[in-house]
Amino acid sequence: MREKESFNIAAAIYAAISLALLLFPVSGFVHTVRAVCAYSLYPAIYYGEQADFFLRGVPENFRKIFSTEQENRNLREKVKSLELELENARASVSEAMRLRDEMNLGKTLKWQGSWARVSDRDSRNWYGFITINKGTADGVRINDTVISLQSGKASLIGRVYEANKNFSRIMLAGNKACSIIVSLGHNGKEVLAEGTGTSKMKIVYIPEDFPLSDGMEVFTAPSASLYVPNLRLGTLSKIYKRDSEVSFISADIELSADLDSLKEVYVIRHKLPDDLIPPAEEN
Amino acid sequence: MRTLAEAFFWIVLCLFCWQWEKYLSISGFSPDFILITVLAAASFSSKTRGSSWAFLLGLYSDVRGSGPLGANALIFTACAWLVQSVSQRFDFFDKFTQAVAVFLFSWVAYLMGWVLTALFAHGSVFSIKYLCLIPFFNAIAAPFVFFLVLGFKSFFRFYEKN
Repeated sequence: MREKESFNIAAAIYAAISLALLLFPVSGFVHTVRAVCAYSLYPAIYYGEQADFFLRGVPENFRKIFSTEQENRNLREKVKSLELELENARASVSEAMRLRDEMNLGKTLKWQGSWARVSDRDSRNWYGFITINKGTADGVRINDTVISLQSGKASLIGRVYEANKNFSRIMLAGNKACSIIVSLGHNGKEVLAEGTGTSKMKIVYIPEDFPLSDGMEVFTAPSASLYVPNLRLGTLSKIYKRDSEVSFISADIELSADLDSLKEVYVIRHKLPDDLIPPAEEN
Repeated sequence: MRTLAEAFFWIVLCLFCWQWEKYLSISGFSPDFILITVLAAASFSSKTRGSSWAFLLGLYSDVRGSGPLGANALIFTACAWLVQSVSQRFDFFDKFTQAVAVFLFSWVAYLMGWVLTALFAHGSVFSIKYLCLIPFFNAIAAPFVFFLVLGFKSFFRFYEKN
């Protein structure tokens, strides 16, 4: 009986203390102390969705301090993601402008042809071949001339070497197996240029009496029946001195087209001489 | 010695609850182990001691939670008082009785908490989801917690059932 009384008294005292705590404005103070301790010892809860719940009883001024830090963290992450988006947008704009320039320039071209996207490249023979996403189904034929439009200029990059139904392989001008009859200047002296396996071509036999200068422009020769004539190929970048034993001089051609960054090319459909049309197409 | 052992038990319980809520909660919901333990302690320990621990654990819940300070202390004290008042009429050694009692007291505690928060904090949100889920979780966990509390008390020879 005595224990029951003491139990009731204890329960009443605890209830009274609880009510007193409820009535007096101590919750804010206690929750602020708890929030400060938790923030110091275990700040992770303030980074999650639980933050609002745990800060519910904390006075506004303290809540602002905690939420400012959290807001700052969120904003930093947002800035990072926006920076990334900005970079992506810049890249997209740059790509769109490049494509627009190419399309605008493409409209002014005097040749018939089609655009193609470079779909593959041989890493072991970088300047040898590229693969494009157009083939015979799109009217691409073997030995068609392929150009690229970069910086507002059309430049030769090679010719169609292999034409399949939906893709084709292009032999680049830098390929060691590639040789092109070129003219030094418009309708100038015609000589043979050969690929070197790099981004340059080489002219081996130039008569020594021919006037040459660095930067002289090189075009496909009118007699180069495999290619569309008078296409820009590049410029002379280095002229080698004549060897004492031979009467020829040689020179390097820096190709106008940047073979390293080819993305789209233009395949020109031009009329090939009958002897250059593959037998399958003749039939 | 007994008080120290019990204090150690309550500290372990608080840490256990904290870690459970952190790692094992289901969609943010987890059993209210403190309430269950308060009910178990009220069932098996002496009356004054049971209500004292209920009050202290309620204060701990208040400090740890975000409601008004004193709400859980009052609720837990009231629950402990109620349990101890009816403990002679029910067999709290029976697991089904434990589950049913915890289920009902979970509702009582939640409704009291909601009323007190509405009265003293002006920011109470009534959650049907909470009201439906937590009592079930508590009822499932009740036999296990009662078993632990009883085992602990037996181990320290604290069994003081009247």
